[in-house]
Amino acid sequence: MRLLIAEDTPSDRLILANLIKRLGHEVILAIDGKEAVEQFIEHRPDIVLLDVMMPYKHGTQVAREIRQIAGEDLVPIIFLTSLNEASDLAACLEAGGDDFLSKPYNTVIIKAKIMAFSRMRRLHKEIQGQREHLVQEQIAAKGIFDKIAHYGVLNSPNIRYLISPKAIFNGDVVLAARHPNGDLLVLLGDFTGHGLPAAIGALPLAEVFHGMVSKGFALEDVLREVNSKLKSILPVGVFCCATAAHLGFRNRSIEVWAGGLPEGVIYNTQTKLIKKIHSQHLPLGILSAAQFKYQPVYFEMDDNDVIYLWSDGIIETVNAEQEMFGFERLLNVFTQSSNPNTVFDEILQHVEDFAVQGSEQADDHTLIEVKMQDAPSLALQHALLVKPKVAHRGLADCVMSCELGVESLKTFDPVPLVTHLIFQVTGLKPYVNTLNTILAELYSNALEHGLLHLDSVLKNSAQGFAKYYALRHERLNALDEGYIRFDIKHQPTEIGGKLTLQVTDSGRGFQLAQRQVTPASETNHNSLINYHGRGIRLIETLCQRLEFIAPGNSVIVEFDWQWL
Amino acid sequence: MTVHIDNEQLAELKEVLEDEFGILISTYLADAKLRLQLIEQGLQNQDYEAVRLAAHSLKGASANLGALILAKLCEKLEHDCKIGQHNELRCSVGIITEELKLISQELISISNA
Repeated sequence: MRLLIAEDTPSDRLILANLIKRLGHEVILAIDGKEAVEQFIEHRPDIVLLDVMMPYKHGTQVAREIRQIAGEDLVPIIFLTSLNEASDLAACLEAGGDDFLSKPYNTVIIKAKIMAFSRMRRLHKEIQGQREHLVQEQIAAKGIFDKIAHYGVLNSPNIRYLISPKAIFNGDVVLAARHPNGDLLVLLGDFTGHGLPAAIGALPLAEVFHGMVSKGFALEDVLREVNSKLKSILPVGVFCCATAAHLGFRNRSIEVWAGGLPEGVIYNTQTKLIKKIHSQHLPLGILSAAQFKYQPVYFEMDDNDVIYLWSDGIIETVNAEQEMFGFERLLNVFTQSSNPNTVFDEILQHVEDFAVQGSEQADDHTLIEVKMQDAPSLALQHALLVKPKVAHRGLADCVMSCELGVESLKTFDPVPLVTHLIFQVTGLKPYVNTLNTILAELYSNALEHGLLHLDSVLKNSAQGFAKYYALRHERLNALDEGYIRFDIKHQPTEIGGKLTLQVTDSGRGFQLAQRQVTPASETNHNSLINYHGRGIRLIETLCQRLEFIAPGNSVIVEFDWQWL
Repeated sequence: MTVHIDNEQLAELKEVLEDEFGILISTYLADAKLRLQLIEQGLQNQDYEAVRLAAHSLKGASANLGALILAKLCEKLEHDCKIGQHNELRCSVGIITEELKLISQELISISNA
């Protein structure tokens, strides 16, 4: 080992140098405090022996400087002293020394101390090495983790988010994925705990979320699956507080499920009104599949709506007086902000100003902002981007039928299934958004109007909106007979193909109610829209032919497509 | 008879330092002379902190060479400076000067032996 001896008394220096050389170590000498620091920088000794009282620089000052230069390396500093009083010896240790050596020097004690510190250094190096290894591993794993957890459409221009972790890995997760019909689903989750154990649960969550949303499953199905998955894999006591939202750009609604996170808000940048998103459920991963509740809240969507969700790290940031930042201060940021476009940054700034300066962050900070404005056009752009490589094989000429009875209708959403079936026609893949929209619209018409006799007019007001969904839930539960049938036919053509979709319900149709035979004239058309909702007009623009079969309980849609 | 130098300790030093033992003795004596000068000077200037520091150094160096009585005398000098008891300093320095003379002769003869 290499030892630095800093001692201004020449005879003491000579004795100590010789004692240590005889023990087989290399010795570097310094005759005052200034030289001690210089020699340390030049030779980087393993152990430093420092006289306390030295000219030019006091031993304790030298110790401080050496500590700073050494950084994370452990360099034991032993003070050389002829002080005898206990308080003086204690002062050496308080000044940053690891030990002291009293004059007259004793070979046996010197040897033992050097041995002890050499052992300590070895251990420290081992720990340093292991920690470095661990950090390297974590960084590598984090690369994979981020690819799984944070891909999707988080980079859309209408989304801003921040994950400020306490450690490399963290228990907060932000997900955003595009439904095949262009709708956007977002989720902010906060797993119990911090670091790696908390982060691991995010992987299955992200996999299920992205996989199911892109296949066209509804938010309810996605959350049920996520809940069951987390319940089965996470240890007891570990769960995921989350808020998830389905932004339906076509039916202009926001569907929100919230479990365990602090209240989020929907902020309107024009009216400055704030709607709060309250948690009404237990977090994901606690309840069994049978006990899991899905009672979402619906909001009517406005172009100026912006959703803000955050994890509790933001709200629970404490100041010097141990006060929490809290929800009230967060709301004040909104009411006091002069520019809606800077609210995101203002929130972060306020939290930073509030926190104790220079203190370590106590929890992961996560924040997401999703604007409704521009989102529908972005969805369409995204749709154009979906042009997978097409292989000229797969399903071509075919006829399929699928009929769902009451029990299926109550619990099963057939749209993803039928979408998936249609996907087997290879050339149709680029049309996924359009076809999913058509299918979903036809199905909800058949169910909500054909079987459940709901009136679209209800959806024209905010209260009616909620009432509509409440009624839907109520009547569906009470349904005791009926069916909905899908008839799907595909015919290849020279340039692509013709897809014929027929959706038939067991309801009485609309003729009985409206006494209209064909939806030919403008008045007829309007009553049809009142009956069937805004979606029908949308479908007409998307396909080549739309025809109602008397008595109105069956619709045929023809979709001609071309190879792209 | 009073023991001025711990011979056992000195023998150990001789063994450790081998050829350099002579250098150690002359280094110590030169340094001790210098410290004593600093003590005298400090006393004249009534700079008791300088006296204390020099006494502290001489104490440590002397202890390391087994000059136990000299070390004890230096410790008293250091202590008196520290607590501000200045009336006995002159007397203490006189005794230290005598003691240093005494052990100097002894050390030189051991070194030459």
